[in-house]
Amino acid sequence: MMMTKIHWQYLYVFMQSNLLEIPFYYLGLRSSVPGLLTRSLRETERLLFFFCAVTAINSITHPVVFFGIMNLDSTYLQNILLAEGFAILSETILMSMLLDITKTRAIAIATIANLISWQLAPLITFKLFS
Amino acid sequence: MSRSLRLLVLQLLLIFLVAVVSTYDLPDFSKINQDIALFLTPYGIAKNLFDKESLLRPFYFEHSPGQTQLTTLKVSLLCLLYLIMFLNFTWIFKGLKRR
Repeated sequence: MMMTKIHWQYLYVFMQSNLLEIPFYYLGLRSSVPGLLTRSLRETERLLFFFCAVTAINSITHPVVFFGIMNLDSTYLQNILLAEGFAILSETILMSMLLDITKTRAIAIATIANLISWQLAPLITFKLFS
Repeated sequence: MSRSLRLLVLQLLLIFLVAVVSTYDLPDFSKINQDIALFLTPYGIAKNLFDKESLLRPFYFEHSPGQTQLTTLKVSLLCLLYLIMFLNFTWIFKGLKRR
């Protein structure tokens, strides 16, 4: 019987990058979750908030980076710099729209989170699949 | 939050559909070493660009063939999925903002 191969590997790439970023957003912005001033939030609630927010934001930025910008008709260096610049900028804008934070703080956290996932994601993938 | 979570599960299912439609597969890592695997990471870029004797250095300025080979049909389906994902994202976003 012929088996059809299911291509799931982009889901892995997406989730890995996403899970690497969530702790940095959580640690950097956990005091800025809406509702904090009116009632005390439990840590799990805060963590869930960042899981939802970061995953939702990544779900619309990561496919653009992966299937769009990385396929542009340019050099490797131009593509990767444009891709990471786009990711940082769009995540900064969306996070500062969602939370009551300054643009400087949003860009600092987005830069740290994206630099870490940009470096560690290919390393982890290589270690796991080589 | 529960509505946002349900919509997020839907968003992840849509990402899975993107994976299926794109037919993307990870490269064969058994044929490459760690330096090549980390070619486009911040450390890899800094290391190779500053090291003038690096064999990988010239490749940064070469034309990229793209990491996914997509046909017109795949691109159309991906664009359709992306539109649905974007719409779903706006509902998740509004839900999180209303908290």
